This record gives sequence, C-alpha cells and structure tokens, in this order.
Amino acid sequence: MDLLLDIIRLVVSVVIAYVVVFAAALANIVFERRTLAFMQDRHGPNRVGPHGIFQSVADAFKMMGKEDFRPALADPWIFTLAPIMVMIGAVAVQLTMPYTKGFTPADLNVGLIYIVAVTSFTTMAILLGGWASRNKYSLVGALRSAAQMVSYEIPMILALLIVAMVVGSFSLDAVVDAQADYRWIALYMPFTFLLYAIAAIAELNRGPFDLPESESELVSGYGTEYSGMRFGMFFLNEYAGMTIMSMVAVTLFLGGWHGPFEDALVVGGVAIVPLVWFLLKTYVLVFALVWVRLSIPRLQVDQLMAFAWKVLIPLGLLNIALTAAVMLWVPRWRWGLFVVGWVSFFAFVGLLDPILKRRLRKQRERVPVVTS
Amino acid sequence: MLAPALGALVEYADRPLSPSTVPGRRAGPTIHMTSEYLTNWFYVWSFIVSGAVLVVLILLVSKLVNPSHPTPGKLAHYECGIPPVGSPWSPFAVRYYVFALLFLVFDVEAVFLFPWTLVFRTLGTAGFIEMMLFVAVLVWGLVYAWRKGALEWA
Repeated sequence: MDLLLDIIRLVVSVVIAYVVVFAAALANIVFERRTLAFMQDRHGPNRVGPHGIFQSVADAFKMMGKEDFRPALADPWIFTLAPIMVMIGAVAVQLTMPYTKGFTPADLNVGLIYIVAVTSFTTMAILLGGWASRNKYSLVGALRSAAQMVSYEIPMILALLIVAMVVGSFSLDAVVDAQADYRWIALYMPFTFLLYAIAAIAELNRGPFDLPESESELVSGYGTEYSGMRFGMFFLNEYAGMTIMSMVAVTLFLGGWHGPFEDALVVGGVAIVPLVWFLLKTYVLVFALVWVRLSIPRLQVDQLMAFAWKVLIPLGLLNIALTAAVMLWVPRWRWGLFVVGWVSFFAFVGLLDPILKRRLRKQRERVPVVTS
Repeated sequence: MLAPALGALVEYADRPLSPSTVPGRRAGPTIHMTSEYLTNWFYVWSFIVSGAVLVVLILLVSKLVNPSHPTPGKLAHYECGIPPVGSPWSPFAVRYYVFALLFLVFDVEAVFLFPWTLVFRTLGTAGFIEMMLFVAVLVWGLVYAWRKGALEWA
C-alpha cells in the first residue's frame, strides 16, 4: 500500500514536471513577445485567441507538421540524442523543487549539488548537437556556448555555496525552511543574489549573454542544422529554462513559497496560497529576465569571458571568505551578513560601470580608430 | 585538512537535524541515510528517464505527421548558400581548451568547498584558515593564467 502511494506520488510528480515544462515554455514565448512589444511601443502577436495568448500553441502545432530532416553528413545518432538530452535537464531539475508547503517531489539531501549536476545536461546537449551537425556555424556556436556555460557555472556554484553555508544543509526544503518569517536570503545577502542572477542569465544563454546564437555572426549558432520538432526541443528548453531557473532562484534566495496567509486555503492536502506566492515570485523574475534582455546590449565574446574570470570568480571567492569570517566571528551573524551584503552590493553596482568605462577608454586609446 | 572534514561530514550525515546543530534550520524530520537513499536514487533515475521518454514520444509523433521529401540540396550543409568548403571537423581554436582546463580546476575546487560549507562552523578558525590557503593556491593559479594572457581573447 505504501509502495502504491509512492508510485502514485512519483507519477504525479513526473506529470507536474511535464506540465511545468510545456506550460512554462508556451506561456513564456507569448509573455516575452508581448512584453517586448509593450516596451517597444508596438502591438506584438495579437491575432490568435484573445490578446494573442494562443500564439505559441499555434506555433507548436505548426512546428509539429514541419519537415524534420537530418543533413546527409551529420552524425545520425548524436544528432538525435542532443534534443533528447536537452529536455532531460529541464524535467529532472524539478525533482527537488519545493512547489508549495508540504509538496516536494523528493527532498534529496544533496539537492543543491543535484541542481548543478542536472542543469549541465543542457551544456552537454548543446555541445553534442553542434558537433554532430557537422556545420561550421554549429560548431563555433556550440564551442562558444560550452565555454560560456562552464565559465559562468563557477560563479553560480560559488553563490550556491553561500546558501549552503547560511542554511547548513543542501536540502532545498531546509533552504526554504531557513527563510521563514521573511528571512529571505536575498534580503540580507543581495550581492550573492546578484552574482547568482548574472551567472544564471549567462547559463540560460539569454541577452545580454546570448552569444551562442547571435544571429548577426553565427546564423543560428548550435541550432543551424536543426529543423522541425528537433529544433523545437531546443527552443522549448530555452524558454522553459527561464521559468525553471527563476524557480530555483526563488527557492534559494527569495523565500520559496513563503508569504502571508500560508494556511488560508488547503485543497486535498496541497496548500494553494503558498503555491500562488511561489508562482508570483517566479514570474516577477521571468519579467526581470525579459526586461534585462531588452535593456542591455549583447556583450563581445572577449568581454564575456573576461567578465566571468576576472570579475565574477574573484568576487565570488572573496564573498565566500567574507561570509565565512562573519559567520565564525560575528556574534549576531545575520546582521553582520546584512551589512556586508548590502555594502558589497552597492559597491559592485556603483563601481562596475565606471571601471569598465575607464578600461574601454584605455583600450580605445591603445587601438586608434581607423577612419577613411 | 581532508580527513577531519570528511569525518565531520560523515558525522553530520548520521546525526539527526536539530536546531542546535545546524544554523538557520528549524526542527525537521530526521534523515536516515540507508532507507531513503535508494528511494531517492530511484526518483532521480525515473525523472531522467521520463524526461528522455517524453522527447522520444514527441519526436515519434512528429515523425508520423510531418512530410519527408529529402533532396540533395536540402540535405547539404548550410554555408550561406554556397557549396560547403572543407570539413568543419578540423582542429579548432585553442582558446576554448584553456578555458576548459581552468574550469576543471575550479570545478574541483567547488567539490572540495561543498563539504566544507556544511561543517566550517565545527571546524572553526583552523578549518577557515586551511580552506583559505587552499583557495589562495587556486587563486594564485588564476593570477598566473591571467598574467600569462590566457584570459585574453586574442
């Protein structure tokens, strides 16, 4: 009987993971297009359904009917394996996601490490897909993407380590528990949250870090030779990734499902109000992703790598040292972290721009601009 | 360094979580490694397999409904419309290789930092200094790579 319950629970969790991936991907595509249109003062897709909300459903059906061919010279197995692998990451991350009070599919005691492990499925899939296409644009796009994703994985891990230090556990349920009563980690460690957010945007290959598929340089990057539903899988993963990364960020830094009136409405053992808080916070972050993409122009490839290795990684290590020191030697360490976190946040935000601008000016002086 | 850290980690894993032992953690369920361990791995594998199964199903369905009219031109490689020149599977820029090497070093560092984050309060000042020495050695390596110009994208 217990086994049967476990199996039902497992099946329900898998179905929820599927639904989140598809609903998130389809919703995010419309959400992003409409939001960008709103910010650029134009209409955006508004024909299919009320306010165009069924646009991406129509696109999905269209993509289903498109011819899905494989280039003659491409590696037959790996070319198909790549789109399969890219979705494994998106589904598997949700195994440890605390959606709401009392519902986590499985609370692994190594949850944080597990998240790092399964999100790298995407990197592998992109690398495999680009290599297997046997196309120069694909290969360059895939290599760029892999270099970018491994470089930004380190600042991301360094930010996750801070969470583990403060909470004292890798389990995501413990992380959410530790953030009850509005002790959200982002509130007293905004600098760590900023580090994580920058690294997560780079991991998602989204603007301003969307070099792997910069259309002006690389046609369509690693996806150049993909068509039909195999391309659709990469596309879906990219947009589902927005929601999934935001869910991880909300769980780790913004208090997960915590919020007022947690026990107000419970249907069938599932608390509804925390679920609403969780989704609301997630979509605030998704909106922020769209906003950032619109506001900041794309980086150059050398600036991109330099930013990870020369700025984020040293600062991440410094942050760990500072956090450990505060937690060891300051009696009321939460307040200590609060002060350190906000000071370093404002120092970073305030100093980054002038420093980068000065470096750029120096670079321009070294390399004279050729005018005809 | 490593032996006390691992010892403390094992001790941590065997011990029930309670508010006094773990900062920030309220009273929660006791974690029994042995009984939950296999179940957890079963969950992990079923999620990974079901992710793959989903995509395979979608690709099969789309295979059934979509048309297939291959022509030599369609199956050729895209290279801006001209016939492809040479093989793309030729040796490639060493830039990416250097970054992959640096990544390996720092990823291994993260592996060592992960257990330390859970036990650094029990290890106290000695553990802090030792871990900072370890990090300093790696940062020294990063500085070396930086000075050597490995981080410049030339």
